[in-house]
Amino acid sequence: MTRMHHPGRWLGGLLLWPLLAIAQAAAAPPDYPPPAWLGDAPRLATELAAPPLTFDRVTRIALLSAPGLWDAYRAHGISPAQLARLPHWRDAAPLSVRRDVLGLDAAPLARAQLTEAVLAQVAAARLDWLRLALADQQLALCRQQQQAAQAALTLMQAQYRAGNAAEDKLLPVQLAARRADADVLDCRASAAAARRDLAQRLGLPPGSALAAAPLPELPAILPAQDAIAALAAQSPAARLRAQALATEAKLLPARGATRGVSLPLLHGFDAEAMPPVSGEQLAAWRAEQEADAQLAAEYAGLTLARQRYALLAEQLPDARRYTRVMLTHYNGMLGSVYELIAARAAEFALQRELLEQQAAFWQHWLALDARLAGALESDFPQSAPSSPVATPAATHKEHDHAAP
Amino acid sequence: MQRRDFLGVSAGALASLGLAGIATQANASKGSGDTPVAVKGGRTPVTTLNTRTLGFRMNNGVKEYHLIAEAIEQEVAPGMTALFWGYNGSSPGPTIEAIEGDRVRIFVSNKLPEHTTIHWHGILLPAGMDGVGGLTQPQIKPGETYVYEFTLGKSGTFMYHPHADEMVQMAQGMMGMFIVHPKNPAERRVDRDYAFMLASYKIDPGTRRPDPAEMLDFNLWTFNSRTFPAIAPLVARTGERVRIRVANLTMTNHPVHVHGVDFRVTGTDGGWIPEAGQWPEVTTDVAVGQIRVIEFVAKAPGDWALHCHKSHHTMGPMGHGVPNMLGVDQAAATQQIEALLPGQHYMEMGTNGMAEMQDMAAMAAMMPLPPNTLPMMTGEGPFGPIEMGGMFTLLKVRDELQPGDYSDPGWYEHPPGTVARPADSKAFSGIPI
Repeated sequence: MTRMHHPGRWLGGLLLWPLLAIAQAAAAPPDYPPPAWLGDAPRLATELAAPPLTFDRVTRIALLSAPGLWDAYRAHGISPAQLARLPHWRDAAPLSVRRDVLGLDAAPLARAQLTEAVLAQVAAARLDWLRLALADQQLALCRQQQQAAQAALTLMQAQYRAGNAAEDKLLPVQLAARRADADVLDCRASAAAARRDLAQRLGLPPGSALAAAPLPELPAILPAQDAIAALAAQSPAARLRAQALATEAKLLPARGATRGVSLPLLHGFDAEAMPPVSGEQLAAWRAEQEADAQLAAEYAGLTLARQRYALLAEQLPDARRYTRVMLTHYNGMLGSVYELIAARAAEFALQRELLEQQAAFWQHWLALDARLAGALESDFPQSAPSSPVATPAATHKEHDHAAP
Repeated sequence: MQRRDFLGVSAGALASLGLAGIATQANASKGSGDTPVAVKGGRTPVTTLNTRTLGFRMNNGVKEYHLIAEAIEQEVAPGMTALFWGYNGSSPGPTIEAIEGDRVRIFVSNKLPEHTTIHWHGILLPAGMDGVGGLTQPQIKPGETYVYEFTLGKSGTFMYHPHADEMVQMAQGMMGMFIVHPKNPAERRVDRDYAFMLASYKIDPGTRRPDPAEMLDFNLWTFNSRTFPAIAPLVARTGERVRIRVANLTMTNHPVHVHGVDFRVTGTDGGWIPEAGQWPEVTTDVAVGQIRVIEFVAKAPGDWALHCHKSHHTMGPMGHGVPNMLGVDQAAATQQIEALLPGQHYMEMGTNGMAEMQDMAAMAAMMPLPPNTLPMMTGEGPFGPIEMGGMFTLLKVRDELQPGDYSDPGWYEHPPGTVARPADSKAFSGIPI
């Protein structure tokens, strides 16, 4: 995996994190009436939320105005109003929270509470953004499935009116069209909920017309699991656990264990010979094991989603070809127009599955990144190249149709 | 030289049978366009549409033939080929012609991947020569050659086909005709003698091999494994007596209809029908496993249709589950379907009938068909699309045709005033309706 660094792109090479530190030093924690305390942050956040809302923009807005960060900011003497006055919010280069905001590479254990809050809120905002991107793209496909079902119904109704089809043919097509309508309703509701949740997460007005950029393509290669493990070992949480263990080891008095039970199994044991250990040490080790297990589970999820995506992506060209084949059968009156429509609808269904796996991959990726304190964020594709689920633009010469 | 010709005349082929130096006769007309080689004694030879008569040689008074059962690839009509099983390079195999009383010896080599036999349908012969695998003889295994030998006790029209794994082997195109001419050349003499076999296949669009599992839903209805317009026309001179021998090895009956003539059924695969038992017809039904021989005098010049009267049998491949769009206003749906298929050419069809399907072949670049299949309707005539396919060909009767000329005379030139024409509305106003 290639990791990109962009030193010096923030004003005078200064990092946001130092700026935040300056703000902390310069201003004593006052009583913060929300409007004044927020200052221009809401306006700037709204401006940054203009479509298409990208991964990077969501990160900036979260830092600027996410209500989930208010307590941590207040506790550290930082106000969104101050942040809004920083000049770099509109910089074109992607922002690295780890490097440009928190300075974790330089000071991995500094300001642990704020770091934890920032990483958690940024991760949550990114996941909400992902959910919206998925919901918006799914809605588009839902509508295409609805159009396919409606086309079949329109034709069947025409056949019915002409006396060429009876209700046994009409009703199933009608039911399928109504199911597609209901599906659109659900997709629309999911998109609206995702939009509301993201707006709330980012501290934007409830009615904000957020439109997420398309989900990015999956990376060509994944970081190796041992590389992930190495990054995890360098994460602030791991460093803190290691630090705690080291401290506990120093403080641990040499003492023998007291045997509280007498069991056949323990017969002949020398209680004094038990290596000394504290409850804190055991808890830290358990936490270490749990973190390793969670990391492994996220990595396994990431790998599985990528494999599933690859398998589905391989099917898509065949599904498109099948539609073209069905069209040739229709041309020769060898196959039914309904088979042709069904083939196209199956394409849309496959695209939805593909999209879900694409989103699942990035969901695991973001979760993994959060566990690694942003160690992967610079590898997130910042532009959104054409996704495999994006269908080609309409080229029909006789009718101006929307691209599916 | 093709292998079939080689088998007819090659000394090498004879040597392989250990019979070199024996007199041979290659009789290899390839269709009605070719003049058939005369049968000995001035009899009118049989013209088998799109195929030929098998060569033979005389060996001490016995006519010897050699049939090779093998896999072949053959054009059904332009734009489509099929992987058939046949004999000597074709499906149907070459027609065997012999004379009543002949002693025949027929070598059958099996180049198929499975065993086979040949049953001589309708010919009366010793039971052990009847060709029913397992019943009257051992199966002919791949690579083996068997010999059948019998005397042709009566003249008539017969067939040959496998009686081993019949369902598969006949579905793959293994069949042929066996014509026995009367011993007396003057008996039942005709000026033109045509033969063809009715065969049906299920070859799904995009595939090339007939589906042997199909029993009813065939999509290729053929004369001699060809469909219109690839079926050779039958030609005759006005006033000539014409015989057509039609054998049916499909799974259904076929009412064969000939325009422009009235005919009599003069024979079946059971023998000739006495004149007293004949009556005039313009259509005769040929049931499964039957042969009907019809004869007529070609009285009227013209291009006359000859076809199975089951209208689906004169169509090219078509789906039988397609929705009925006749009279359906498809405009709104078409707009929606076009929106679903950006960049593709979708055209509504069937609202006013299916004649527009004839245009599909012309629009193939824009609205392609699946590979290796045929349009549902095809054929261009002098007045436009003929809109046919399948079991359809033409009987071309001409005044000026020379006896023995089997070449296609082209389109008939109608005498002035003898072609149906648009009518002036005044001409029919007032007629009671």
